[in-house]
Amino acid sequence: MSSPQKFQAESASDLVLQYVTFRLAQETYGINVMMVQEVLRYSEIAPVPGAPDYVLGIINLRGNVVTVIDTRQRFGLPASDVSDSTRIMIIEADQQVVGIMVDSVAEVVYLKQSEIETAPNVGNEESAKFIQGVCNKNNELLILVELNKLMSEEEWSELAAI
Amino acid sequence: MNWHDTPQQAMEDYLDALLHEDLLEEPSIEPLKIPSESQASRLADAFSGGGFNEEPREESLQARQLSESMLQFRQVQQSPAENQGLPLKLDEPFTNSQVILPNISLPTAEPIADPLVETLADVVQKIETAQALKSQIETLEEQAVDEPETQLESLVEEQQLEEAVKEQIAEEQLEEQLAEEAFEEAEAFEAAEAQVEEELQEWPEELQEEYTHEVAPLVEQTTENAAKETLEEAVEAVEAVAGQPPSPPGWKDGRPVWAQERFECLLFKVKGLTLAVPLAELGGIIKIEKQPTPLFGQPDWFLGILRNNKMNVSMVDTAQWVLPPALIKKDQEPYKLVIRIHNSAWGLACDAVDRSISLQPEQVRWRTSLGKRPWLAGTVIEYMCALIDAAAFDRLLKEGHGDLEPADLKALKKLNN
Repeated sequence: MSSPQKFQAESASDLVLQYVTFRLAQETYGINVMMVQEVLRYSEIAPVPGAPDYVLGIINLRGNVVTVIDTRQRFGLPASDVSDSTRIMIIEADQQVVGIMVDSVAEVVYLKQSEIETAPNVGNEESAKFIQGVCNKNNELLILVELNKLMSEEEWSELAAI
Repeated sequence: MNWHDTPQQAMEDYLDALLHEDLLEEPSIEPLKIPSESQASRLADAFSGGGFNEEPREESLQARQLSESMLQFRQVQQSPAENQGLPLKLDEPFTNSQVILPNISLPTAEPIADPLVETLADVVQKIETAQALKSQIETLEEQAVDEPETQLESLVEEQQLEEAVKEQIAEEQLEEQLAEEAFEEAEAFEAAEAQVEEELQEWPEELQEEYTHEVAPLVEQTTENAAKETLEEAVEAVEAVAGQPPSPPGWKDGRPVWAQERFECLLFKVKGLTLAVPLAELGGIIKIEKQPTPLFGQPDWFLGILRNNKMNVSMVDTAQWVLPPALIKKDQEPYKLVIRIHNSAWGLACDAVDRSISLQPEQVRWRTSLGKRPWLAGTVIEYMCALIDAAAFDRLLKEGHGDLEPADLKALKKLNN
């Protein structure tokens, strides 16, 4: 059996998903590629007075205003300076287009559904529910993030009003 | 608490206090940021409700109720005539003794006293408690997410736990059935008694007097004997229940199943404290060569996920569970090893592994109640160590139970100084 045929046969029995990986605080995270629209280099973010603390500000994306979320703050990670590798990932979640700022964007990986393991969830922090699962890839643990749960309904509404 | 001069004495105090935490002053510590309500907490509360305490003054409410029922049964035995439930006591004797006994069948059903009905209520209450435990175990089964290769063994363990609960329920159901049968017999007897009294009213006076002098004493004697037999059976059932306190999962006769005979333990060190884990519950020892991957939003005691042997091991900061926060220095050296619990994805971080020892069950001072530290199986004074109930530890971790207070013991503080 040729390689593509073998891949298709495997795919039929075990769903293969594509994830875009990015790094935050020395750890690697993954989000479903279907949610990512594009990846931008860091550009000036205009702060919005009165915005929630997890909102860094807004950017102009080809004439459209996009709200940028402070991912580190949202994940409960310490703040960090912007570097050359800092990226803004434009994602579509909960029928809204927002940007999330990350330390760097790495690659797109193929993960089988069976490879994804449930992450232990013993915390009561709000951010704990963002974790969809974990997967070991290339001797590195990949933390898969559920972006739809990144914010509550009220918070998505708040973002829409900005 | 009395202070002692030697570190050994201080350590003995610490181990003693681990087992008798309720006798100590409550520490003023910051609670861990973890769920306050969990199934394990409810389970621990259910178990800590009584039954494990050996001291009479700490006997459970259930045992007291059973004892009261027994006392009332004895009173019935001593003065059956005073009991309202006893039938066929005619106050006015009949005058005519020339009677011919009618062809009636006298009831032989056993009477039941009110305390027996109370015992039935107690038994029903115990069954409800047992059913609550069973439903909690079923909930735990649903929540358990294990590795595929370990799922079968975990299921076997859970099945054993379920069987233990089922045995207890079966015993209580048997007692309930006995009580129900006795109750039904008593009701039938009362109905027959009423029927006899009605028929007596229709008899001639001679027959009534004959019945009063000859038949009624025989019936009363038969009734009394039947009551005695019923009472003895009930007392035996109550004593059997009172003598068998409910055991936590994986425990039998006041100690873990693996400790029924001589067992082996591995000693390991956590921030200066020696702990012991039974080899029967030891899954493996992992050397930390790469820092674990932390997950955001988790409590401080969750150090992260460690990849080992194609398995993700969740690493626990053991010190935060077994030591008071004041004794956990922030700048201490990182852990070097992880003690993985058998058939579990959880591992206890430690500084060093000491050696393995062989223990007789009598060498361990087993805990008598679950308290706030269900992970503690007991203490071994000879080796100055706390023996960990790894299976209980695993259950707590799986359920995300974190509102446990670490040991805040002045004796250990003294030792540390």
